[in-house]
Amino acid sequence: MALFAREFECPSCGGRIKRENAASKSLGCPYCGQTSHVSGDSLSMAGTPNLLIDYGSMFSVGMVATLRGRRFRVSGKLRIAYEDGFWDEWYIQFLDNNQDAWIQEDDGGFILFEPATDYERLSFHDIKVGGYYSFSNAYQQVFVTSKSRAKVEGGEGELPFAIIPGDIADFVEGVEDGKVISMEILPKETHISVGTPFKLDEVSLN
Amino acid sequence: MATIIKEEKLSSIEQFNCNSCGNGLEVFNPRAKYISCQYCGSVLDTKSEQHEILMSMSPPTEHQPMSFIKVGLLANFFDKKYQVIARTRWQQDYYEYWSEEGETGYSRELWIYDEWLMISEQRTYFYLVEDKDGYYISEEIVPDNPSLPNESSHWSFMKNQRPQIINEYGSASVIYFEGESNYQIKLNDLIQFASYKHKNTIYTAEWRINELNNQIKEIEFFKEDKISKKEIIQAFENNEELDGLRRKGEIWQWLTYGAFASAILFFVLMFTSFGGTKQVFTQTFNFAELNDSALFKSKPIQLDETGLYCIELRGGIEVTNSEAFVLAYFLNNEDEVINHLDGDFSVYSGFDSDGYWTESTEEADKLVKVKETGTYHAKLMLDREDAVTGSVTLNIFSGVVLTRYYVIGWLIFLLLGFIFRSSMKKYF
Repeated sequence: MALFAREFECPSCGGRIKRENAASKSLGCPYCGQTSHVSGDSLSMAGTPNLLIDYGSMFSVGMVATLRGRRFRVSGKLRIAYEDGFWDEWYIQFLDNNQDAWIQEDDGGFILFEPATDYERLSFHDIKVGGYYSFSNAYQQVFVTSKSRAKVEGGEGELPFAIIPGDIADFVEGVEDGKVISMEILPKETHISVGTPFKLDEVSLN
Repeated sequence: MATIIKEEKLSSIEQFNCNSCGNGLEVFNPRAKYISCQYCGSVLDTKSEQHEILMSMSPPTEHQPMSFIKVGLLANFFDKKYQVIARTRWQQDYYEYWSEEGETGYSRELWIYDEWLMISEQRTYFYLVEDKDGYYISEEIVPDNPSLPNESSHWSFMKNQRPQIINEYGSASVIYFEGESNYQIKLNDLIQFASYKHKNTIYTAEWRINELNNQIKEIEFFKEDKISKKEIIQAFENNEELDGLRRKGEIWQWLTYGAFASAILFFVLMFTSFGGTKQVFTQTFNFAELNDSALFKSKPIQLDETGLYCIELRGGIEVTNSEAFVLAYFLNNEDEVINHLDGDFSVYSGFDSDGYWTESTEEADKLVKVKETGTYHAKLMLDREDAVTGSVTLNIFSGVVLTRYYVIGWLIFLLLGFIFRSSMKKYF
């Protein structure tokens, strides 16, 4: 991955921003909090600078750790604000196979989400909490436990899609067969991922 | 479950004084947006510079914790250090399953419980639930077969569980909270819930209704495992605050033990007292010897011990449907009356609708305290109709104890034991 590493200049403050993953589409400046989109060899500003406050998480961008025997690197962080607070999503890559995943951190609870390959497009408005919906071929009986409209508060490090702080996104979360199924409906793209909760004891720092 | 290590409290990230009462407040959770003052019940904004008062609740004195646990205490659970940072008091209005003599049903109940929020050094949480029945550790879980209960009385949402009887369902609302919160808890915040029990674990689904569209807003699933009071005490043992409480608890504990031990002692004494008497004098007087115009003197009564004696008169009337009155004076060797006893003896019999009946009064007794040893005697007088024949026996027993005092003592100490035990249970 280091082969693709390169540095950019923050279009807002001029600070040096390192990109490790060539596929990253958004970069957050660690100095001023400006989110930028990668376009070719340059960066373009997206939204206004917003340095995310560190709330004492165990995770941080750039760290390497091991979860259930698999080493991973934390590449970025996305913070989503909703009616009752906020949650963080840590964008990680497993070092054994370069697989992308997310760690959702919400009020001291942790879920490892791995992206699903397909999804069914659902109407956010029609989904009812407590109902069963088909989210994908693999998950056809998802029991919806929550839905919320939330705001992208900001990003940090590298993210695999183009985020704009302040964007509104719809989130639907459900459960099937002991797995948490999450659907994020962003303005331009939809992501579905399958999660399993874990405890911090299962994480060891490298 | 708990490991006891002497440790310091967690470091707070912010300290300020309550804008309402001036008491010091500490914030431990970096994410906390609100704090409810545990001294006056004001809810303050933790994120603003001025820490504005957002609302005021009824005074905390109206919602005292059920036991020693309070905001700020440390505890060790799962080999980790936790600190109590908040409490929410819920009032449940629910239906509880009952089964009796082949019949089943649900009865409406009201119940109060506290939900203690525990935060670790790694800023992970769990809830400790406390009610009058004990303590439970509550953990959010991901169900294997998620669903909400329907019309059926049976339900389960985990694998390898047959549908179980729904033992509780209803609603719960917030009536008080203190400490930190990431979101603004509102009084009367309402949740719906249903739960069932599988083995020793309670499985619960909770859901909130969106007031705007009356649809379900969020559903969460929990499992609750009971934890003994002993384990709770061990988990909280590391607190200086608990030392004082423990000392108070130990005082109540010793008072409890003392009261119950005294009750046992009185109980034993009560039984032993039944067989401890000894007859020291007896003399039978034929009615022919006695009359109402002169006192008849008994033989000398030698009493070699001071203390309580029981004087007993036993009347034996030989003629039915008659009665006799006997008066006995008890005198010392200087012929001074130190006590007296009378007996109304009678024998009646006859026939009524139930057949033959008989009724008699044959005994009278009295306790006499003898302060000096020596020779005593009795003088008896009889009042009867001439045709009434019979006799009266004067008995005197030593070693008499007041059994009724033992019974009273036993009852008092038993009652005290339960009162002390109830006070002790507040601490243990």
